[in-house]
Amino acid sequence: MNKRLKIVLITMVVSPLILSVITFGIAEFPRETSPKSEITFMTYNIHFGQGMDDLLNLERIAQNILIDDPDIIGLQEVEVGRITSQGIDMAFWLAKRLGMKYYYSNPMNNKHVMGNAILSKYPIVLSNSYDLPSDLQERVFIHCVIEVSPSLTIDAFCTHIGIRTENKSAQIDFLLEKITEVSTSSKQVLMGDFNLQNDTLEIANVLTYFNDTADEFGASFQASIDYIFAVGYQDVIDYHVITDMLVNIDSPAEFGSDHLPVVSIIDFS
Amino acid sequence: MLRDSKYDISFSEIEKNLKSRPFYSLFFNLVILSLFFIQALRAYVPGVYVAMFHVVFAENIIENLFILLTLIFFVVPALTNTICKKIGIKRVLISSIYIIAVSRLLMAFHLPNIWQTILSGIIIAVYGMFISTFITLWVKDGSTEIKMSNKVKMIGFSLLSAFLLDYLIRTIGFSQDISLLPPGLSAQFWYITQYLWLIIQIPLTGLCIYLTKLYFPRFTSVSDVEEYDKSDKKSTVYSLIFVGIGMFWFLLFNILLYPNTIAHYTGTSYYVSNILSIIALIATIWIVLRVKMQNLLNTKLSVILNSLMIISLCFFLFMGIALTYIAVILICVSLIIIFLNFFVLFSHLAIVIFKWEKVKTISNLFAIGTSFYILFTVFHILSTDWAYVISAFKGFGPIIVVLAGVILSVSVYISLRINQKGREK
Repeated sequence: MNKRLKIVLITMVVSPLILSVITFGIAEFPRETSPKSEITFMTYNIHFGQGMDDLLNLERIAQNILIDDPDIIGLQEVEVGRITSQGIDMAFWLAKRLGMKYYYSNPMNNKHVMGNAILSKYPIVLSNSYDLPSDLQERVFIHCVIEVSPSLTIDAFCTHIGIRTENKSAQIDFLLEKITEVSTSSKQVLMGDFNLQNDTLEIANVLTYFNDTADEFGASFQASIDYIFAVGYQDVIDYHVITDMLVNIDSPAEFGSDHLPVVSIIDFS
Repeated sequence: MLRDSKYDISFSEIEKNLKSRPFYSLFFNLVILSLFFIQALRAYVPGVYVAMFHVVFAENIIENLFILLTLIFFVVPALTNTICKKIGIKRVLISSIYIIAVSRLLMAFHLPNIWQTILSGIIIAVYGMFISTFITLWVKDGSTEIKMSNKVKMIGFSLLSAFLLDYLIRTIGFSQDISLLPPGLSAQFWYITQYLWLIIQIPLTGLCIYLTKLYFPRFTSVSDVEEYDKSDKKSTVYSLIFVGIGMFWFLLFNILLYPNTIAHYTGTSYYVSNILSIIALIATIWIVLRVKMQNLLNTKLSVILNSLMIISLCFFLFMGIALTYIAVILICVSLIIIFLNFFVLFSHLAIVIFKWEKVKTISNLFAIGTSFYILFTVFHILSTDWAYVISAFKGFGPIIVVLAGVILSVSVYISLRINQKGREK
């Protein structure tokens, strides 16, 4: 075999291995974030990474998120290793892309369906997931204890409530019961896609425990089914829904999902 | 290291016979077109899945039903022989290369889902035409004195190299297929960064067309069936062994090709699964190059390896979380066996004589393989993601995967038995 061919073949065979080892080596560069008391939260149903044009594009989701550069994100409809999303681990991909820590879980009794993820700039010191009572598609809600500073620890929850009416009440009851049981601090934030309008009994039930961070910021987003609820905070500094991803461009291609990211800046001082 | 005498394939012999430029043209096209096929096969199912979703939820029904109609494309490879008779086998081969190269280029423009799915369907269908005409001409080419084992190993090596390139691309993109991981530019520029793959795709398509036009080997046409003894020809029913090809695609494209999935099932690191998967593929390539053909076709050895593969699959699917890295190692060993099965089936495809002409044999079997791949994928989706729609399917996901492993093993066993009987005769 001539030398040129030998080089071509060896390079072709060995380069994937070398690259995979390099990516392993550079995988865990931690991004240091200084402690603060005003924390930006975002909840975003990413619709399996598929935008309004039905194309899978996680970079577009990342860019949508980066508009507000949140500290803690609750993601719903996140897929891992499914043929339907080309085998991607979406939570892992986005966490690496955004330089954040993450926790992902899908229902324990069906590892094939979508799940939820929490991404955080601060260390996640404890994490767990709980299957919601479901008689249609399996659903999950996840819990992370996030240590912003030695004096500030936040219990962050992320969920995606089912579609069927009869499920929703049971799921909300289970959710609130579990939150009371597992919370480690008085500062709690519940993010997610509730598939419920804010005038429903189920949301009223949630409001017996939490405050809706949208409350002080007008009625323009009242139709939203994505919520950020919180308790134990000082003040809600801002609440908004990101509706325009690209300035001066009006195209369905700018939206990474069929939902919009909802943002709350909460002061925990 | 790669001294020819150590290996069961002589690249020098192929290069000497074909001449340098045709050799590189042939090797490049075979690897790159197979890579495009792998990428298209991965993109196709998500496209159809999204369309199914829209149809179920009554959104843009006509447009999305049109996408579902692309399933008809899987019949197209079966028409290769008829088309060859009309316009000539060489013309079909060359045209199929151009169509695949251009379709893949168009896919890189991130067109709407309907076009992406149609283009990936076209690539899959036309690749069936390409591979059947190519194998026929390559195996039957009388203008050179390249040994049959060299020809078969060249095909096997190229196809496995395409999988390796696919791993390389996904490793760079942190496992997001097709698009590379774009640098973090501002939101205003993300829609430009998504076209980064075009920088690679344009020269790849250009080279495919250029090399095909100028240097692709000019095979000599040899008439097909009459040179063989009729008693050697296998009946149609044997073609069902190539359901195994479909099962190979099903196992790979549903689970084993994705280090993320292996990591998810076993609660381990993506990086470790990725490295071990790549090592498994490199080991397969080494075995294909190094081990003699007759040893690779040993029935007893194949039965032992396939039993190990099925047991490993069971451990992985039912006890993955408990076994963690042991399950990852077992599944990576299985990956070697599955790739070797693929090589055995493909080499059999090149050698065995059915009652049909060779082009028809390979193209029919390609169509059968892809159809069974789609069928099992649908069953798997219904028993996992969509188990809530038809509850009777719930929990059958792992059983379908194990069944696919068993069918693949049986296909390989029958294939080897046919081969052994042929050699004994």
